[in-house]
Amino acid sequence: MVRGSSWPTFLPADVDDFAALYAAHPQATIVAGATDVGLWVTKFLRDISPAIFIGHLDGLKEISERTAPKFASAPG
Amino acid sequence: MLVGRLTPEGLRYEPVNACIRFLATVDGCHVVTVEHLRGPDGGMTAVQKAMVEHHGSQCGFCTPGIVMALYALWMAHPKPSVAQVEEALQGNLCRCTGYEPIVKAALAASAYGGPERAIRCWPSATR
Repeated sequence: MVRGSSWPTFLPADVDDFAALYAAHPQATIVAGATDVGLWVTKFLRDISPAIFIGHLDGLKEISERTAPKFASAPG
Repeated sequence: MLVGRLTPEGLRYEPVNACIRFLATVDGCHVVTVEHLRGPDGGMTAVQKAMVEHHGSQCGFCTPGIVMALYALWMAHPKPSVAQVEEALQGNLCRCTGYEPIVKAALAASAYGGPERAIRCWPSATR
């Protein structure tokens, strides 16, 4: 949590930390790039707290594609 | 402003719109505002000199943002193409001069100095 902020603001250390924070604060605004969210605040004065910032998380910077595992269908 | 981040390739700077940038998103980054810019002699940077010489500033409202955008471009591409200049200025709006003198300044910036000492000429955080 960012200390000194008047709004609850979180900077998770990694993806697992983010998952735990989001589970604890499911109503949180998740912010990555934030161009649109920035305008929510500056133009609409919207309260986005609590906010979880994830733009720095290396674990979310890549999407990989894998072949889905095959499952045997249940008889029936 | 410029935001410098450590990447596997080294410290990389990108221009961002300070007005909508949340403080938390620059955690651990080197934040450089237009007030930080200095040339090697303590005066104007090459980009600023080029902006003056080519009359790239009129009312001045957009000038800090344009200088920072062009500074980032100059660091990465000292001799940019027109397309690279136009791309670098996509986030900046000027209502006074039109873009022609600003583009000319960007194309001419390297004539006023290269970016070899760009990082070192920024003052430290203790300044």
